[in-house]
Amino acid sequence: MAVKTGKQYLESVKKLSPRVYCGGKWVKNLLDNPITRSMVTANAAIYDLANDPQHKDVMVATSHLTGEPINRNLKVARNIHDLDMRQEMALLTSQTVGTCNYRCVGCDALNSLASTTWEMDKALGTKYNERFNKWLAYAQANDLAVSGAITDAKGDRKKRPSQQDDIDTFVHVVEKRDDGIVVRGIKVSQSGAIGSHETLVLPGGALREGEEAFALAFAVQNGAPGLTYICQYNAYSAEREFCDDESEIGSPFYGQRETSTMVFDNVFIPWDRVFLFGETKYCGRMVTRFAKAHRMNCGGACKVGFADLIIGGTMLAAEYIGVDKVPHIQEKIIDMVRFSETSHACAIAAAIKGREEPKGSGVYLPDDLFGNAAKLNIAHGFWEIMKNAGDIGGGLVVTMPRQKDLSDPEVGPMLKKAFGAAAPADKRLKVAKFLQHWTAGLHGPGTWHGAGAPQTQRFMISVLTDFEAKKKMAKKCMGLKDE
Amino acid sequence: MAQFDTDEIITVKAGKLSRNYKGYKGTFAALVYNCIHKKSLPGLFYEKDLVADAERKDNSLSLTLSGNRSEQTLMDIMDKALENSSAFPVETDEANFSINVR
Repeated sequence: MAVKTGKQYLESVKKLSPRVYCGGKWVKNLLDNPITRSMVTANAAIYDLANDPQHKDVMVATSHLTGEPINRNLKVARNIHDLDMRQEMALLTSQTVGTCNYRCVGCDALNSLASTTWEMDKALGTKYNERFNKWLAYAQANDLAVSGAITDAKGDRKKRPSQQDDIDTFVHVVEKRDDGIVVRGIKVSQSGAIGSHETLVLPGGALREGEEAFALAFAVQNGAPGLTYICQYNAYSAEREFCDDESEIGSPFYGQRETSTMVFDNVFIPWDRVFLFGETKYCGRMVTRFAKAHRMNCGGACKVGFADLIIGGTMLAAEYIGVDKVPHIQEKIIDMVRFSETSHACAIAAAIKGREEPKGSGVYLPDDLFGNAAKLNIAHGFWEIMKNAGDIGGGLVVTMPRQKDLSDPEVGPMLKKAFGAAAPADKRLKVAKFLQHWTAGLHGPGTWHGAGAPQTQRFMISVLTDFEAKKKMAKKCMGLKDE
Repeated sequence: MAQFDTDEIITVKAGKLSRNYKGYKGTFAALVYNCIHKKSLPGLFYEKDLVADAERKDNSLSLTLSGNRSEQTLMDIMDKALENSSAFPVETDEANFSINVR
């Protein structure tokens, strides 16, 4: 069955045991550790969406390779409709789980690979595209959860990869064999890689002649010997790990956006899983095409889904203290919607204005300018949305006691008296905790840096915009003649 | 629609027990490399010194695991290693590769 259920995914995860380190200990079973379990639970919910008739149009697509129904997370966009459904999937999944769709980066990586390997084969006579399509057909047939790893550890930013004191700060090849390659190095901030069956690894950026050892793209299974995942760990991780009731947490079911540092210690990759090897010229465009897709989805749709949740929570907070009809509160809510929907509009535009790239490949990628505008807009807008949520949610968002204290025979009655308003104290605390998760947690910097920090979007917008044409238009309109 | 030659079938044998797995191409090569060079099996990082000996002959891998384990335990270990290689049990009589584990 090509479109699997959450239950089937969870069954497969029971047998997965990647080498995962989280909060000071090794995790033998992803479902036993509350932190890693939250990531896996979120992925299962994404699988279930594809089996919900209400969301079939968004979540299920047809494989261009086999003609079989597949989960859209493994779909190569072949037209404008596919691009539009892809960004709608990013919106829907965020609205549903309030954290990453952990198959999202993998989806955008495979679209970049489909495009760039086709181009390489045409120009160089290689067989990367044929190889990639076979791997993709296998992933689709088994509905594998595929994550993506792009960002290298990078070391000293003043130095090129080969100039680093420790070149392991970039993933690179250490041995070329008849049956495959051996790679080592470090990728950071990898969303959901721990609970994925496989990860697509792409170069972290453009590379130059002489840097062939770093020019690599491949697929790796998450239990491959030599591969270690070191999970992020923070106050929210500790809260989930040590609390006695997860329902009290701000995001009780699906957790934070769980990432890990992936350390490759001489990991063997068979040739059938290698999709770029040494062709430095194509690394930049492979990453750019990934970013093109990811900025539309991560920036212009995923974060809009998050914003929907924050806006909903903020409105409930206002209702529960009886200020929902106050004009300045309503104005701030409208501003939150304005920031959010402007980004979504850019994502829709990026999809609608998307095009086949390269010509003849059959692969469609979003419009770059609108995608970058979507991401840059939400990077700034999200902080405004968080600010308004904190403003309307009130100091309680960070000063609240824990929910469970309401049941304490001694302090419970005091707290109910203190926090009862237009709604009972338990509802107020529940919403305050939800807003705490969104406004005082990881989401600000996460949204800022996810799909690239805003400076990269500014750079791209400066490259993609025809400023001279705008000056010419202005001169013509005002009647200013060139000398 | 194109038919894709994506699979390789691997037979795992432990004494009288055997089971076939379907994995993506290169799965057998990866298992061979990891057993011989890394003395390790996918997904079994917590089992220290698991692989005692491994030898490849053409399309067959002879694998000796440490300790005195029952045939069923050996099959369970290999099941985990194969599933962590994105290879899954399949009903078929034809196999491209074999792993004899003891």
